[in-house]
Amino acid sequence: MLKRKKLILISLIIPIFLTGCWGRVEIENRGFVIGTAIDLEGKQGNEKYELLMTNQLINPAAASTPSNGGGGGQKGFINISAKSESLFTASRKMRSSTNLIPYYQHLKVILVSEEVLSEPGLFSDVMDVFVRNHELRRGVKVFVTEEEANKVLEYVPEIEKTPAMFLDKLTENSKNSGVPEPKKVDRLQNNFIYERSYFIPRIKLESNEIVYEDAVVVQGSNNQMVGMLNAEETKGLLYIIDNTKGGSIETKFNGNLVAVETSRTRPKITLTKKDKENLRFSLKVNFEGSIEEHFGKVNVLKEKTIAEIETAVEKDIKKMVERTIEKAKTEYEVDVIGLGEVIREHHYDLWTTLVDNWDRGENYFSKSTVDVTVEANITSTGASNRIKQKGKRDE
Amino acid sequence: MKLMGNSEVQISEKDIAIAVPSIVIAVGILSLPAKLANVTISSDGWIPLLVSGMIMIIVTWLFVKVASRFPNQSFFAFGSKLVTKPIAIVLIFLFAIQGILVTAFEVREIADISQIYLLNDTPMEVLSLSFLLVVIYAVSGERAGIFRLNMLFFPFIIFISFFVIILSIGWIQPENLLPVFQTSLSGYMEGVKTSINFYGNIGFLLFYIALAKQPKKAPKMAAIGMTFVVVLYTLLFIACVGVMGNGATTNLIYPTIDLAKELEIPGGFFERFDSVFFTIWVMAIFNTAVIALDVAVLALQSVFKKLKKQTIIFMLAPLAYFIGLLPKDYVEVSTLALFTTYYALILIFFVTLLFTIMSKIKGVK
Repeated sequence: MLKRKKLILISLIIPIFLTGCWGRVEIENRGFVIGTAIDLEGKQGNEKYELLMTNQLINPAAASTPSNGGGGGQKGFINISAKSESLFTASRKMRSSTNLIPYYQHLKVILVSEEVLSEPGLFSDVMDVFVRNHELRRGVKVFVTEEEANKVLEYVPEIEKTPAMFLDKLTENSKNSGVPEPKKVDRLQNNFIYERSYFIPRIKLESNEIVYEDAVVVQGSNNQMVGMLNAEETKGLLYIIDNTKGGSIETKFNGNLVAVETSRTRPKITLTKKDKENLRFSLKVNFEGSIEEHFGKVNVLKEKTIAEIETAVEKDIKKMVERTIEKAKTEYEVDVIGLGEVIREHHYDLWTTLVDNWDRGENYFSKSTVDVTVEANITSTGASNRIKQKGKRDE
Repeated sequence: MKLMGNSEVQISEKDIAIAVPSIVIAVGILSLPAKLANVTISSDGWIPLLVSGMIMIIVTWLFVKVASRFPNQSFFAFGSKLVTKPIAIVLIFLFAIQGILVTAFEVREIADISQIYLLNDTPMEVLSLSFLLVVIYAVSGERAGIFRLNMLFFPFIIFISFFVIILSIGWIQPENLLPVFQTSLSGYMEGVKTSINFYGNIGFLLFYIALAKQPKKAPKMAAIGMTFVVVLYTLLFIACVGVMGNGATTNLIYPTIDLAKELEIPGGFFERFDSVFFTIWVMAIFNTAVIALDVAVLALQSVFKKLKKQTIIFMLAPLAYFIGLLPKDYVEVSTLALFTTYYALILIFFVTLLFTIMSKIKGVK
């Protein structure tokens, strides 16, 4: 009798421990989403938008063949799209158009078209699902695309199997080529919360080539795009905001071209004048580089030569940086260069008085002045020199 | 006085030092950075965290000191000597209630979190029941087993959490930590009020001092255990704010889990580092739940000496399950959490004060 009671009890309890299987999804049924594109399909007045969400799933059949083995002609990815007012609904709609269940844990890139960004507030709204969803990691990279975002997801790369992976690796690669690092979801979340203005790197598709060199500028108060910085201005921006690595500067020396590689830059911004109406900053860019290419025949090992090249580089960087600052200040009136951050970090009392009118309202930002000084240091000239050896020609 | 039943275990001073983090580190650690970042500016939260930690180290030291003056006497026994029997019984009941509340809350919260992060389709009721059953199983056995579990889990908890903290150093952005010391005094006060909640459960330790082999060393060991908690909390807070920024930390519900999601070790192997991290928190929370239920059992056992341990467990467990299921949503769970921690804090402060004063009056050596 007691034995039977025990048996009944055990068989009642056991099913509870099998509950882990309730959430089970076979790996064959999972659609690993590695890229998402968000486009604006239409506006229906009343700030109602119709969004087109395109998910890039890995094609399991093609993924199982080695990447350099030809792949049997199968495309490595499947793009599926769905339209809806909210991205979450769109994502759920996709379940009815494919046998795979979208699985976002390995999402690498999010592409948002400029059209979405040009609507006030829409960008932060569409990003909400990516910040809120527990399935996602916080390091997902976000890009802006010039044309429709889903077109970029269709770009077939030559070596990589999927466009999303290609974009992901492209930006890894760009770390040493002087282009902006991608914005990640978690950084964007901070920008949304503090209503700070920011920039997002842009991806363009030009004659079937991916171009990744410039950035769009977004106003922090309503997350609306106000303009863009071209490749040159973006480069200038990088000298201001970050410790840029890589990238080259071409400068003229003695009428010949000298390409100097950036090995390290260290910007330092300080507030020098605390007058609210006329804030003054000093920006010191410390540049370290090495000569990688020289078209002339001058001894670059001479101290005087190096000093002259350094001066030329300093002038070029200064021009570039000043142009970016000018554009941010007068044309867009939006603080993408992080001057506000400097005040917030080191003069918090002052910051609390002008935070609401920083790059909006009174716009103390555009009233401020920045004094730029650049100090270039050429630390290396490469492995060889290239000079004429006088009197040795007929040797 | 001899301790009753199967609870005749003696615990070493090392056990006490480890029991403290096992008791204190509960489900609160997952949301601590968010709550603290909310009331402080930038990275200033570490100051109130340290201040409240200091307060709690002193409180811990004080009450363990009082308890250790009565070597191998249960809370009921020395409580009766200090504050008369009826008051001791009331205090014991209050602690038993705290035990049930904490068990209920931990079980509910862990079920909620596992549902969000791991098992989306499994009903919350089933998750909490399966967790509670494991807790009951741990409590039903010998008390020594609980301390052995603490000892077993502790190295994992230390190792993984410090691994995450060390890993996050590379991800910390200085601008997230600046500016420093900008919070107003009222902000700091608010911060102390918020962060002291996360040390609240320490009162359970009172019941275990009776089991100590060397009660003389107990206060010091308890204080060491508490210091460890303070250090862990502080470092975790700085890591969260430094990596994610004050704004994001405030807006995340469980920033401690999201911290691990943020970190990526190149190579893809550790892309899902948060799962490892989550596992150790489940271990830590499990320890708290087990101790809470065990203390409730121990408390009632010392009053109703005739009741069997198993009977008490089977009375308390459904109660804890029921209380755990009461809150409808996350907001109500938070209210339960707030109630539980304030209850625990008031109780422990009151008991410490009362016992310290009474032992001075009665001149106990």
